[in-house]
Amino acid sequence: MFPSALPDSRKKRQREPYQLPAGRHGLSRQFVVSNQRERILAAVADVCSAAGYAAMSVEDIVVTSGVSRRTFYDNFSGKEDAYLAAFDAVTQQLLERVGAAYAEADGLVAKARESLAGLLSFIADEPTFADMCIVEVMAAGPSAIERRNRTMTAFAQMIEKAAADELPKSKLPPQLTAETLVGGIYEVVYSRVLQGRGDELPALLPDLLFSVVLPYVGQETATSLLKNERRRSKPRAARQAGPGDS
Amino acid sequence: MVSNQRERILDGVLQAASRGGYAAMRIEDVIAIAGVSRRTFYDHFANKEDAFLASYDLVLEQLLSGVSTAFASGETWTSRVRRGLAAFLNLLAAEPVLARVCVVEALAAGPRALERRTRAMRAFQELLMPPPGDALATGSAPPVAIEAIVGGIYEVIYSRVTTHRTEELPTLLPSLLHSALLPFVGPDIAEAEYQRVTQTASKRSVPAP
Repeated sequence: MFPSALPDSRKKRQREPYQLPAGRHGLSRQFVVSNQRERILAAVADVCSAAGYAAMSVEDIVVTSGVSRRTFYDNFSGKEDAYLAAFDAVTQQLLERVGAAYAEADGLVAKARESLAGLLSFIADEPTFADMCIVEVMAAGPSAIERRNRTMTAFAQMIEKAAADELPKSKLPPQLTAETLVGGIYEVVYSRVLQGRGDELPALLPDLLFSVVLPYVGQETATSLLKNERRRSKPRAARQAGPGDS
Repeated sequence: MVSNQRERILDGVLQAASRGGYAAMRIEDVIAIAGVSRRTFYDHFANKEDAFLASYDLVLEQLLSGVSTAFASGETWTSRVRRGLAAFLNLLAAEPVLARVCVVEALAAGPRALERRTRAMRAFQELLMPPPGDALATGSAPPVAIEAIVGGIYEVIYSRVTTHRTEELPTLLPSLLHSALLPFVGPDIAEAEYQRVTQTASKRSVPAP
């Protein structure tokens, strides 16, 4: 999505440096502006991941992104504003990826499986974004937490819709079930990201899928799904490495 | 006198943290509420984090102790979970300051607070695993599923506490209990438990056995 602007010494993962040449470069203003905004957002993610939200300063973001302080304040009113924009950008991409997987799959079980797979692989592929959006969000103030809650509600509604489309009303579990499931997935993800073990998340697909479908399809079906998924999953290293960062 | 001062400081931390959040909490606020001097604060605690951790330990202990006692009063695993979860929700509803600190501010107070929280979550996970050979709890679930149940219960509570709806917590008992029991007792018993506590949840009391 947006490439890292972090200097080598502070990078957690290798990324391509992406910096405009200094001075006149003959590029359209619109390109420059959007490029600068992207660099700021990328810097927010990198600094937030490395230092935490509380310790992050506008100075850090400016230095890391390579834009001027003036340019920063042309784009954002302060640290929180920039953080929320970065959060929104990442969350949008996540919702698009999960939403696409959900839409293409048929039926509750397949939708749950493909959505979870999309979610877990996104988080595993983007540890910096995961730090920012899953861990640091809890310390980034009420506006950030409100956005987070909205995203979680969106996921809960996806579960509820898939269930309502497939099951008669009498077979639906209690009202808070979907919210509880999404919260549970969040916590499992949070604990791994917090410990820097986000890459282990895709391997948890079988167990999380079990949790999600159990209230809707019953113990027998959920257990056989669990077993099938465990047989099906391969070590991450055996899978082809994905394309580089966009 | 000394222990009284320490208690007052801890109470001051709880009040200040729950009002304005951990990040914004200042030692000035704490000592004003506690009615002690700055010097006295530093006699007891090295810094803000230290004081917060001590108060967090205190309220976590209260919470876990209340839940464990209620849990142990049940005769079957199913009734233990019912009693423990009811006690948990009732305690939080009765003590909004405690709820705010334990459920919300602990997540914003740095890595040592997070460690304590992780340990507490693991303790709850233990309670939500039935002993082998239990007559009703014959189903099974992988450990990550239990983690997700505890996490889900936590998140539902978190959302009510952050939106100042702590008094609603006891009404969540039926659905949360259903989620906790389902993998082990199956849908029929989970539904029966749901119905059973639906009547008593609104009374905000620990249900009868």
